[in-house]
Amino acid sequence: MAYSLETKSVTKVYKTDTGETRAVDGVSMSVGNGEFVALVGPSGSGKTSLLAMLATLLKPSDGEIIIDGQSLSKMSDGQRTRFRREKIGFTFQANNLVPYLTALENVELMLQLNGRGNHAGRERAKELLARLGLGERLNNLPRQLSGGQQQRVAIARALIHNPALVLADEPTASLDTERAHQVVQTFANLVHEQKRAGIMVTHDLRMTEYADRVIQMMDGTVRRVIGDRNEIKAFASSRSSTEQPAQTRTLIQLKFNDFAPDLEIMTGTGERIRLSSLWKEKPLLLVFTRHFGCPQCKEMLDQLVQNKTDLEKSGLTLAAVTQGTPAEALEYCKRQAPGVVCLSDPDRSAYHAFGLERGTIWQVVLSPEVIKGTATARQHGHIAELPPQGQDVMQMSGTFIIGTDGRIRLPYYYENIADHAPIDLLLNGVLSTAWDKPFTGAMG
Amino acid sequence: MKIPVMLSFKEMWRNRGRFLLFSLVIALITLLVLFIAALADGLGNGNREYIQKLNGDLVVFKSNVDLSIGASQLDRAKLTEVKRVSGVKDAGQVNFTSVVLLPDDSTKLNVAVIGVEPGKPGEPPALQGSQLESKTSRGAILDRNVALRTDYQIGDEITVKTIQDTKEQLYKLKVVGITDGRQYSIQPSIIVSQDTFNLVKPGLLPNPNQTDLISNIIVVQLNDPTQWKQMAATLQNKVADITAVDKVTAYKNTPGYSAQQSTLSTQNFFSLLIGLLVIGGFFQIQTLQKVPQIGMLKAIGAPNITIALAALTQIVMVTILGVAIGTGFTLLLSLSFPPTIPIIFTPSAVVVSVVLLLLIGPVGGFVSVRYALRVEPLTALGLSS
Repeated sequence: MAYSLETKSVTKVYKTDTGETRAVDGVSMSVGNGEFVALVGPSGSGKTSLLAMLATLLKPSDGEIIIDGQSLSKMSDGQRTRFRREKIGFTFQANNLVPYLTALENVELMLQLNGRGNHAGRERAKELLARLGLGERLNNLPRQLSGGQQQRVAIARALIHNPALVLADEPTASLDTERAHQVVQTFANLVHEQKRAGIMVTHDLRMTEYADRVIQMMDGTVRRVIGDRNEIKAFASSRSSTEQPAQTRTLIQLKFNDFAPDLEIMTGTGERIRLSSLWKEKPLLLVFTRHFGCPQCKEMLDQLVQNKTDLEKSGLTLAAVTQGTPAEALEYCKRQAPGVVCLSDPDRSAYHAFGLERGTIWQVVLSPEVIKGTATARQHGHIAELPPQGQDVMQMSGTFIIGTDGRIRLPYYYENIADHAPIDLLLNGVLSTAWDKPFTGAMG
Repeated sequence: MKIPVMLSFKEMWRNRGRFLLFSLVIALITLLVLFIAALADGLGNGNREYIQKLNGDLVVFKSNVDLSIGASQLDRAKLTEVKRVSGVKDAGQVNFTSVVLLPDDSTKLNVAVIGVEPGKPGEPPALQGSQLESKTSRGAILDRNVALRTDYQIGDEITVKTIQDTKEQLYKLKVVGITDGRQYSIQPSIIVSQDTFNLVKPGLLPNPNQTDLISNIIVVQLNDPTQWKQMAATLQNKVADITAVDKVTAYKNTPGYSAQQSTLSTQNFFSLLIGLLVIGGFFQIQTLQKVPQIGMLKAIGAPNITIALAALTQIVMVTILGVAIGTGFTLLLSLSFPPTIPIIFTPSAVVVSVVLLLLIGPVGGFVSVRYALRVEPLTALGLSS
């Protein structure tokens, strides 16, 4: 098979305040013409960094990327921009289109940038948009189109100039299930027909059913490659949740615990205590940070501090868990989370004990008491049927996990349900105040 | 160039409300700048017009009076001495004062009265009617501004009121000619002979026995006007107790002229500076709002030059539109102003102001263009360097 894309031991190392982070660690892969590959993995697994390198937006620290037979290693910035314009098609999660250009003009722009903006090009753009079901929407501005229609325009723009490689970054992030399926199916069909190499980064595992191969990343490396059609179907249908495998595993692991793990952990002053000494008195909210200087951690801690009074009134004890030494933890907490219990987890034993994945921010609520709350569940497939109709108050106890998307997972309440899709939850109105804005910034 | 122009034009057209509003802000700044420039010109002209248009090359003052026309007093002997200096073609004595013109019972018009010697330097050419005939005639040449405001015609009799020996005195003069604008001290003027000047000037009652003719300045015509610098030095060497300067120096030293012009220049400078900051601020905010869009354009391969030209084209188009609206509006508005308001739109001042206003757009927008160039394409993926 002729390969449009090859990577050889591609590595990306970021320098951080506390040292180096290997976001992508020796990834080798190849994608052939007409092949559609889904890249999946939890936040922090390195897939976005890998995508940025494939898109020539980021230079690898090590390794080589070859697209359409050309190595990117020795290209200047100007050559990379030109290469990107000619050989790569792109769709993004958001801000995909130029807002003041019509659907047709947005697609034509790509041709114009490549010096091919002529009458024939315009006709081709119209034809492609018509194929994508937008024949009647050619002169609509993006704001007059739905999210799905906008994504289809972006797909047309990504393909109009016959690129060797087409990249899609979370193309279904803002779409409902039905539209997400339509968009990805269309994308996959066009990649196959036009013999392009297509790579889609997605959190939504259901979308992998249209892929010819699924590459699962974890901790910057390729954890698993699924190429068999039946295995891909099983992979996609086994998890109808919007969650990633690692997070789902976390839920399953915790599901069978009656209580949260009572770990030994260090305070900011270096004293070793058991978690139970904190949560047995009052429900405990633990915030696990990624590393010092992580902007998403700061955002989360800022929200925690902002809502501290409300949260404490609702009976929660607040604690921040950092990955540095007790002294570093204390300094960090003083700066970022004043008034919050400061815990240090230098060897990440607590982090791992909860089954949390590296590079991800987590909030964990531990509660021995029954918390009464008003729950609302919406979307997310069949879980939307819960709680039972007419019953909007539920009782729950135990451990709740709040992911980086700001949603709460309930490992106990739905224990008889195989699927642990997240639900949006309001606990006496308090948590909704604290986490009504999803944390979408966590990246690999 | 086609893509940047297309991008900037379509953005403006499809957000025309916002861009038109901003153009109107630039138009208002243009209005302010042009009016201040016109006011500076009008006021400056009102002070200097007579001296600037003098049919002479040098103006002679008494020395040690700091070129103050009011303080300068020169007698007939000095005129004779000046005329004797080689290179001097002709010279004439000129006096200045103010009186009230009474066109009718209810109207008063303050005018400058300028006493000149008929046929000598200092007497302006009559564009209608005739020149002053003899030094004793009661004839007067009217500045065009006086004629416009009073509707006096050649042959009309005019009445001026003056205070002499603490009493109001009325004198009748006859209009013999009308000249172009000859304002002095921000007043329109009437030009009369020296005898008539001495008759109407405020102060003591005229002394019929006075034989010597005292004037404020002497206007000198030279055989070779290009040699004015050397001739000024020669005059000062050969005639005692005088200072000879060119016309520009003379009018710049009229009372309040420099202070007034520098005040208005400062106002204009600050108006332009405010314009610069407003335009810079608007485009910087706009660029900040467009960071994701710029990141996306760069990510799909738009080169930096396209981004920069698109931003620059837009700045230039908005500025041109704003300045054009502002200029047109200013000129229309100026038509409704009465002649008493000292506003003059001279082509050179308008062109200079418009060019400066057109320049502040790109200069003010420079920071935003630079910022746009520094946007990382990685922002399209939610990453930053």
